[in-house]
Amino acid sequence: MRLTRWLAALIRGPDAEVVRGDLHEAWRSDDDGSWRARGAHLRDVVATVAAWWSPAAVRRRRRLARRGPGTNPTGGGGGMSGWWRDLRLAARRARRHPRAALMVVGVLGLGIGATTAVYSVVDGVMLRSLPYPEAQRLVAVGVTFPGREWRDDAAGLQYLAGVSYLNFAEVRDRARTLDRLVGLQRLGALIPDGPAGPELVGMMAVTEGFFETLGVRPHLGRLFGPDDFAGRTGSVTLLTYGTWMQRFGGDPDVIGRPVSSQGAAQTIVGVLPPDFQAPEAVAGDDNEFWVPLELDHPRYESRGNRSLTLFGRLAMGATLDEARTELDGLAADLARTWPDGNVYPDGTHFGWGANLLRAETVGATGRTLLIFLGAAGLLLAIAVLNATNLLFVRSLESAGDLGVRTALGASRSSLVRQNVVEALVLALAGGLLGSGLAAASVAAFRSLAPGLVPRMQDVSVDLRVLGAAVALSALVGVAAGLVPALRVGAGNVAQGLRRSAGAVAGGRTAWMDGVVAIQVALALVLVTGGTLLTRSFVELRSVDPGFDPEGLTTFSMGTKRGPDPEPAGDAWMALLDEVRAIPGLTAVAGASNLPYENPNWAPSLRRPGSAPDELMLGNAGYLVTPGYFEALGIPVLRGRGIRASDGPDDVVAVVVNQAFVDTHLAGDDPLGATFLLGDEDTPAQVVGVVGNVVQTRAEEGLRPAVYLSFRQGEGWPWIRVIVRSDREAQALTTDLRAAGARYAAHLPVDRLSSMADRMARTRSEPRINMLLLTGFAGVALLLAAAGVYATLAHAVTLRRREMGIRMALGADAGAVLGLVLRRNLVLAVGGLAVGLAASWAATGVLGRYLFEVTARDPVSLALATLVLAMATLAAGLAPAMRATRVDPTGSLNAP
Amino acid sequence: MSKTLGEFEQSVLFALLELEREEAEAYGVSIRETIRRRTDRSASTGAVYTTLDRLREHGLVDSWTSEPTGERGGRRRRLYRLTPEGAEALSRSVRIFQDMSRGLLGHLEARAGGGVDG
Repeated sequence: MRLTRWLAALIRGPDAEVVRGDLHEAWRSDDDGSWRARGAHLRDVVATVAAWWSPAAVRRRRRLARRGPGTNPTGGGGGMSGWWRDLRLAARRARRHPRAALMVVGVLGLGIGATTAVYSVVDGVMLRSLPYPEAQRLVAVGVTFPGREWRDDAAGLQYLAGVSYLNFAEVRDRARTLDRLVGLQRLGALIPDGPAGPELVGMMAVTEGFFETLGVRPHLGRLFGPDDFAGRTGSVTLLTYGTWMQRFGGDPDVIGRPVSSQGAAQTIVGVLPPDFQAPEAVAGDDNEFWVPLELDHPRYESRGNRSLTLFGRLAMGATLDEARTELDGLAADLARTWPDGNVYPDGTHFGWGANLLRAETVGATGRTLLIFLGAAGLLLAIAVLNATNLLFVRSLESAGDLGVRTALGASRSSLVRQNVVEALVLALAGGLLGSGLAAASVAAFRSLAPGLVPRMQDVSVDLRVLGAAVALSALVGVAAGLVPALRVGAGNVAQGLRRSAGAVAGGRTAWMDGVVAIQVALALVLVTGGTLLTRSFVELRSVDPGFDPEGLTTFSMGTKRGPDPEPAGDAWMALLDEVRAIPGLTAVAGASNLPYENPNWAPSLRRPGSAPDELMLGNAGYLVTPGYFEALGIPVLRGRGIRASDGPDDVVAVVVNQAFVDTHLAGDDPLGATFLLGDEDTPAQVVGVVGNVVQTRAEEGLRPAVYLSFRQGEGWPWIRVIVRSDREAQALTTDLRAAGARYAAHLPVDRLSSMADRMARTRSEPRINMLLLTGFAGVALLLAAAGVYATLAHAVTLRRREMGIRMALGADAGAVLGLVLRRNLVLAVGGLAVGLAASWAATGVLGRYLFEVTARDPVSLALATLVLAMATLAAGLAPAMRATRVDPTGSLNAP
Repeated sequence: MSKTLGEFEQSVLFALLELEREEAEAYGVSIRETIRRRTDRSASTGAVYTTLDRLREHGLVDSWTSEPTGERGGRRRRLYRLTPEGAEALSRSVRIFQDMSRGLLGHLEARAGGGVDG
């Protein structure tokens, strides 16, 4: 048709070719040779030309041209473009319903974060091998006490104590199951010219082969050779890398330079590598100097002086059990050959034992960590269930959209895909949040608990766990996104449309109820655990220490093996005189050890006329100055305290505590009772009875203690000074340091702290346990409440119509309120019932962490149940109130 | 996008939806054909393009040109596709229709058929 071609030529512009192509194609398909078809075509062309040149169309074409050409999304593979579109759609929906999206992300983030953090700690501490070559063959070795061989039966851990040098040397030379056996002993090094005056730092003495056993190579200089141990080279020392950097500025010429510590000069022969870590179980991590063990000290000549800590390497092919058996035999041999120092008065003898070094390092911490791993797992489970429900509700509420889209011809696969993509996006965002939380928690945990958990330096956020947790949440996302989409996709479009405002049949809400009830149940387990630890901690804090810690400040002076000349025994009294000169102190006293500190001395006592092996064991011994009991506020119950007149030459005066009287003197009059003290059977007489005082930690209970005059304990190398004052801490500390310096300028004032801080430190482990578990419990409580809220809110939305009818038929608001609350109650009671049973079963693992509270403490269980019940019911209140505000007429028109 | 769609705009969007499901190419001819088949009403190619341009301007459809094909004498086609915004706008229109018509369709039929007294 020439006419139409001519007319079509009037279509001009960028897309003219396209339109003319369309007109041409349409004509070719419609042309059946009839005039009718020709007429239709002509009309089409005329209308098209007219539309083309209409002013509005021209303007629009101009605007569109400025915007640039459209993209061809199918060019790069149709699949991707679909996913991309779904992603954009998911992001838009998240923006449109930010609260729901944030909730899913937050819930998953919390669960993933907690689990990843705790698992990272567990992995770093318990699962990763120690950072030494063939670390699995390293074993800790030591002496076991008869009847106390096992520290932890379940974990197969032996109780290991120090070993005398002579016994060590013999076992080292004879043991076939051990390739190497080395010993170390911690010494203090006194740095006279530290940046803040004299300083006590860690120094470790080691036997030959120590560094070789750990596979250490020097960073600078050399390690120790045989000559160093034979005493042929003079005193030598190695520096740790940190010490080299901090005290010597990383100077490479430091080798060969002398350092003076302990009053003796040592030559630096090498620097240890930066990554050198001494095995924590045997060495601690604060040793700055490493020296060869010098055997000329008298303490290495007695088999009874068990001052070495040992570890070694199992021989190739030897097992731990074989080593234990061999060591046991060697112990019996030692007892036979060298009874002196190896055999108890009652004929029993020290045994020998071994633990894998890793097990020794982790010790009982492992069990604690496993409990927290369990708790974190519960939290993750709650979070996952919660997120499933949230996503499910979300999907159901968008089922209307889906129904419409299905009706509009959207394919089932595209619907499913869109839902899944949306859920995945939220799950992955949750994973991202979780990894941030995990990294922050691990960092916080490191600073929170230095020294409390072994191997913390090996802990970092574990990427594998993070991956697993994110994968799990993605799986949840897929599942929660899939189910509703499949239901709509299954073809019931009409139903989908009818439900477009959210009507969902009871079956699915029952499923949701179940999921919520499980959350409540799991949360109850955590809340019960948190309540138990909290109650236990409260009990622990309320233990009467037996003295008045308020206003007490303490410090320590002197060392176990300080330089000469070092004050000892009576000589310390002059220090107290210096301290007394400080204004504003209401009391000053000294002692060999303080409450809430391991008593270093356990004097042996027996009654006169008893056999030499009838010892009264288990008494803590304290040397105290006159005024000690008054200064601490320990009541003197009978007789008197220690007096200034109790001098070195008098009959030894003993003050005992009430526990001592109850344990050893039941029925007898304690005052005037006499004892034989120590190996020399020095006569001693009880002159007073004082109240019980907590010794090392509050949970230990009351233990017998004896107090002697500080002046009568000859040569005691250190003193703890106690002052009572209401002065401000900072100024007091300065004055105390100055007094110490006036007394002995070359000795540091050590461990200066308030008594309250010292006491709090002994509770730091239960405190951290409590904080962690209550933290988990709090989050679990929140999640469970949120779950209840979301489910009920959804249910109210669904039953709007029913409630409207009820109200239209005359039901009052109270009845509708009851309707929702009843459902709420069913959820709560069902969850709590299951949770109670689960708590009953699960809290048993907490038994060993509890003080004065049993693992199945009914009060804690009731309290936790009450808290959770209240939270659950409170969560249901808002949806219930909403139900009562349903407008009867409006809701009847709703679907 | 809160603009309501006109009747013909809705028809074009539905046509795009159908073509998408059928995995058929959506361009002027096929869109016009789909509308004609479904509604038994014929629209001009010009009207289809005017509407498509309008929808494109509002971001409800996407478009791009294809490579030239032999069957139309070496001329290119401009292909169209529903954007997510388009799908949403359409879905909203349908919902409004449903919400408004719910329970009234029987009555409407009676009225439109003129059978109701008054």
